Amino acid sequence: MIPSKNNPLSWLASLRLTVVLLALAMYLIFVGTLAQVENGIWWVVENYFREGKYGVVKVEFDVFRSLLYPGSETKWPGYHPFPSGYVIIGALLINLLAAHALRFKISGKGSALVIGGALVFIGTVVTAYTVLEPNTSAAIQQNVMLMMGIWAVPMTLIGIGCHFIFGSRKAGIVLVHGGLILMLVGEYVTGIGATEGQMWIHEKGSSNKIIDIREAELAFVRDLGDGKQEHIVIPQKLLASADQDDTMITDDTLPLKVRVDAWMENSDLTPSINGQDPTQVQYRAQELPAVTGTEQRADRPTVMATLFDGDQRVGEFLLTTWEVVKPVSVEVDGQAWEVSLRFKETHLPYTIQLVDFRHDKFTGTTTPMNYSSTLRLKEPGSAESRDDFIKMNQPLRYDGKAFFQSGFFQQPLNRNLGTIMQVADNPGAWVPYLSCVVVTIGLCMHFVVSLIKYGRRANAKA
Amino acid sequence: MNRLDEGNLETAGKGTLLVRAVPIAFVAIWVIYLTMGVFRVMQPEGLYRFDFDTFGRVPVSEDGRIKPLDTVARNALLQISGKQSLKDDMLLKQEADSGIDSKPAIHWLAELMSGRPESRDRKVIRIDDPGVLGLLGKTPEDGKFYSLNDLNVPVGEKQQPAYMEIDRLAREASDKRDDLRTKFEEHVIGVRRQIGMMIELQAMATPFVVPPEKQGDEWAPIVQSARGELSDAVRERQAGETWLAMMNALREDKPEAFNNALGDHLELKEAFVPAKARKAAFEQGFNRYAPFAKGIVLYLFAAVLGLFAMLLRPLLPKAGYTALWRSGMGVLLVVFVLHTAALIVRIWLQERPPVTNLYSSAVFIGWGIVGGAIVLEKITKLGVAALAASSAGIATLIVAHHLSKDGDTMGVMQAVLDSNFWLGTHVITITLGYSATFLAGFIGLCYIIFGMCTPLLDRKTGRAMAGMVYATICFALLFSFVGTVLGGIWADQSWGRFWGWDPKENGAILIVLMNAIILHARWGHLIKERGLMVLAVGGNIVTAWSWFGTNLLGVGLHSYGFMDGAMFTLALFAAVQMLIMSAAMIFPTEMWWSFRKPAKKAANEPSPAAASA
Repeated sequence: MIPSKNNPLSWLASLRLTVVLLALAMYLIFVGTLAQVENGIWWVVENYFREGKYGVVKVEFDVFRSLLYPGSETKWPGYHPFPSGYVIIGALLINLLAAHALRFKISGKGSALVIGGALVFIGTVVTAYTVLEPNTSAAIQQNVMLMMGIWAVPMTLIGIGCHFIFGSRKAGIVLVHGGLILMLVGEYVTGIGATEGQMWIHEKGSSNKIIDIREAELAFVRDLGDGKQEHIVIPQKLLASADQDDTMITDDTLPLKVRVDAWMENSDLTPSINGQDPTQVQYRAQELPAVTGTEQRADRPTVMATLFDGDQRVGEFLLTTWEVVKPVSVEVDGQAWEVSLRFKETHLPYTIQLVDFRHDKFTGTTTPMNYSSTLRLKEPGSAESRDDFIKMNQPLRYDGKAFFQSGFFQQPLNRNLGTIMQVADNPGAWVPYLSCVVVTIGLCMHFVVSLIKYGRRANAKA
Repeated sequence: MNRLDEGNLETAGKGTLLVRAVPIAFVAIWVIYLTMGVFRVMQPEGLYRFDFDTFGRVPVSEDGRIKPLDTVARNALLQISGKQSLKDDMLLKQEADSGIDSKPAIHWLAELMSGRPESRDRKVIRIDDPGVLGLLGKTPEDGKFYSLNDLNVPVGEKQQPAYMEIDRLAREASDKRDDLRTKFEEHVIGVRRQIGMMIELQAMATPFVVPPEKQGDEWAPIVQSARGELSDAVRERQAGETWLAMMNALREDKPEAFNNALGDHLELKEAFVPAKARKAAFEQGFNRYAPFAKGIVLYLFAAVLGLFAMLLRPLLPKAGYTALWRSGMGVLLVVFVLHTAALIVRIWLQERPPVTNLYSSAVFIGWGIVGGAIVLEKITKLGVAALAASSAGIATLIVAHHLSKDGDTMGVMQAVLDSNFWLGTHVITITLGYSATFLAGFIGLCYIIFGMCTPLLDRKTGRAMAGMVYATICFALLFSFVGTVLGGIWADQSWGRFWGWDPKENGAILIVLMNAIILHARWGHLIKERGLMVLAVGGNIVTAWSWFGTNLLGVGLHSYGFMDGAMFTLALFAAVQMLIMSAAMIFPTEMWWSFRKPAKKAANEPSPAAASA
């Protein structure tokens, strides 16, 4: 049972290491939560909970300020290094696997082992089929209850199989840990594989554009005719670093060279009337502190840039993600380009039209009671279209993506409403559901066994 | 009542008269007290010339929910003055002279809505901040409560009324970033809110009293009806007319006319919205019965009995201890039934699962702790779990009482949260996880405090308590883990993101990790009894953090009232827990009073274990 002291694995597999790692995880999550008072949630996720830099994160002492001296403005200096989230999770996985390798011995013998192995095999094959076979997996993922209910069957088989293989005392724990590993791996897959964005469509309008409001890009757009467009973009990171290094952004694919005069990660605009032409409203931008994790807003970046055609200065422009400022039109070699700063865009191969948007509030309040949208989906080149109705907690699932009703916007001039949808594309979305089923079955098995044991002991005492 | 008594008799076995009679007497007294309360609610509250009692039953629509005027009155008065009825300073001089010592909130609301002159003299606006009082030329010695007329005195260079100055300062303060506001500015904003509520009520802008003619249409405020803006639907007009007739009669001091108009108005609404009217009437009774206020009293009584049972155990004969223990358990069961019934009534009134906001989470966490502890107490019969349960009951209900000052405790749900399925699964499970972690922590506290400061804790009791804590933490891990995962699933179903690392989610995972640490440390023999208890007390801090701390991070500073001091209270709570944990860690158990020189004790006097064996 207890590994011998000589075994080099015994330290790696020890519960002492487990406890230490769990405590480190608690500390990291705690300071990461505090860090969200001053920093954006995505910044914290990147810099605390995931990789960090080479697996090390800097925990600034300043994070404790909001806890100990709320309202004080002076930033506290200094930081201490700490292992990043992925490092801790990785170490926990190693610890867990080592523990299973050392302490969880196969106790079943003969026919019990064969039956157990067969049950685990059948359960695994059935589960794998429901996950990997595209039609089946798409069908069951339409409904949570259905999905989890279906998986409960093969997982129960695996549970019984583990009972034969590892014995009653260990089987539940094997399942619990297996489910946890699945969940951590799933979170890693989500971290690298998932994309999410928003679609903003005004009523009767249609769109194929998904925007990521966490990141901006400088875009050159040209009409190719036939409803097609060419987009050439400079990502936000490049703009920010060009501002810092005072370098010119040049690339053969870019129609113009870009010199970043000022980059603002978050900004506000103030209008001013142009002296010569009073109908022309000009805007001035001022920099704002970046939005933090406890605020429900998004950064609005602005860039002041000078464009060059070769050595020829084309002009200095204010480009911003605020919609009031329209894109700048320039002509290069007889081609008309529109230059703008926009939230990062991706384009769907199909379009979605907003047929109807509904928004009700509770009587006499501004508290939203519900939002819902009726959508019409059109594939290019096909005359057919399908209508879908979405509302809170009831998304549209199509093409591996899920479209969630998340809010609404109002157009500045005609006050018309539009829908805001959250679009998620996560290849590992099903993993937490499966691991939830596994862990729950494991916990239940372990509890039942413990209760029976407790009951027997109590009986024996009496 | 009878069933409870029989239950006790059955388990009493061949006990003496004392063992049977005392618990029955205690249970009977409290059951009679609670039953009498029901009869008192059915009777009119105070006899007034105007039938305010019936007035309080009138259903109206406020903040998206149909509720009785009684609830509107209580919530408004609670937010403006911190009290649920008119007391002391809030009574007018002639009322105090005629020997009245308290008046229900509905009385004040009727007065305010009708625009009776005394409503401007009633000192109900609570102002604590010396700076704000200074604006009025007052000091804290002049009292805490002020009337609308007190706020009408000319101040400043321009000699404009004080409330206008407050309004100006509050608007300036509101433009500032919330974490840069001073204490004074927070209070100015708060006082303006109080005044604003009174003015809205007086102008009848809220609540909405005119029900819709057609099913599915919305309720409307009386001002629209009075201006003739509503359709000429007959019933809508009648509702408006009878309401105005009521207000006129009240203003002109004509009780009979008021009571007649009230009768017509209520009859109309009962015909309009019969089900809602019945619920509103029931809610008025529920308000007046105040089950959670009664619950605090009963929990306190059970705690005292439990404490006596624990403390006197070595001194009392076995029958005496059993009598005390049973009495404590009996009272605890009575109050648990009351607590459960009150939760069920709230579920029925709201048509929602029991936990919908911070207030109801406090009520439910208390209920969960008590329920779990009763089970443990039934098994161990040591009195410890019962003591932990009754103290937790008191603590959580007091927290709930303070949270109720933030407004309607049965408010409507934001669209994204509006899902009875997820409220019923995720929220309930995670809240039970809170309950279980707290229960383990409270037992840990009892262990450390009794172990260090009394000679009562013998090895056997200690072992039993460790067993309780261990079992409770197993449940805590199960509930908090499943609850957290269900929360992730809800988030994935709502916006396609299973885990978003936001403060509330992080708080939940911290509880899971804490419980996992305790269990793994135990399995690895890294901790024994004392270590288990110390870590369980640590669970209190983690749970309190994720219950309140994470909320305070976001909203901490732009809130007023209870939440204002909440960060301090939370820090104090954490500090006390840490102090107890450190004491338990610094002093080895040989130095604890209970475990000191066991050999000598066994030789000189019978140990508690022997006494109770």
